[in-house]
Amino acid sequence: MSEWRGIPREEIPWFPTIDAEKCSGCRECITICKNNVLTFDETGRKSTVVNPYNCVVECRTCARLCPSEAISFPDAAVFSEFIKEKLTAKGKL
Amino acid sequence: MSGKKGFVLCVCQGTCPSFTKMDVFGVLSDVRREKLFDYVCLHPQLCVGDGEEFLKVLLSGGETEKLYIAACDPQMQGKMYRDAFEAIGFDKANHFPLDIRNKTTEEAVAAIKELAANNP
Repeated sequence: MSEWRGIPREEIPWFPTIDAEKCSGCRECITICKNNVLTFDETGRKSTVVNPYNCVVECRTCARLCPSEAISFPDAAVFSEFIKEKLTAKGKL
Repeated sequence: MSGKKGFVLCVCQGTCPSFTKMDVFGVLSDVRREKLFDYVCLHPQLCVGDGEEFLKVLLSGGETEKLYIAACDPQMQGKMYRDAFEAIGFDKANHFPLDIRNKTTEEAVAAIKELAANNP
């Protein structure tokens, strides 16, 4: 996914952040996400973000289902404002 | 209780690659034509706040006895809709989940017909 509504995906700071200390290495997130955003670091025995911009903008399913609450995303309200500005600048809002 | 059978198609905002192989509205039209359910609807993202609210409003009043949801993995659905079902007193045994990710329109419709046939 290289673009999101006409905006280069790399201009949109939406992707999961994994707290390695909380991550139990259960791989639930990797099972859930079909878009190859995450991978398993065999050395550190943790999930890691490998393709951040494959993440579906405003999808939080991995964070919702992480049993260790180790995954976070940008604040919803802050991100909404950011996206509105971006879409407005593109004449799409 | 011979309540209504409802069907919801949830497509992760329509931007998730898992749903781009199908024509979402084609699936809905084909399913409606089969007269399998009392109502059919589309939601962009049941797994976040307003999606839970949608489920609560949809199921409040008890008119819907069985809810068929074509979306992501059944286990994921069960976990993500649990709070909404419990809040409204909807028996999760009457939630029939189906994973239609990465399916074409025809594959999705066939799977939904099978879901309905197997869970009358």
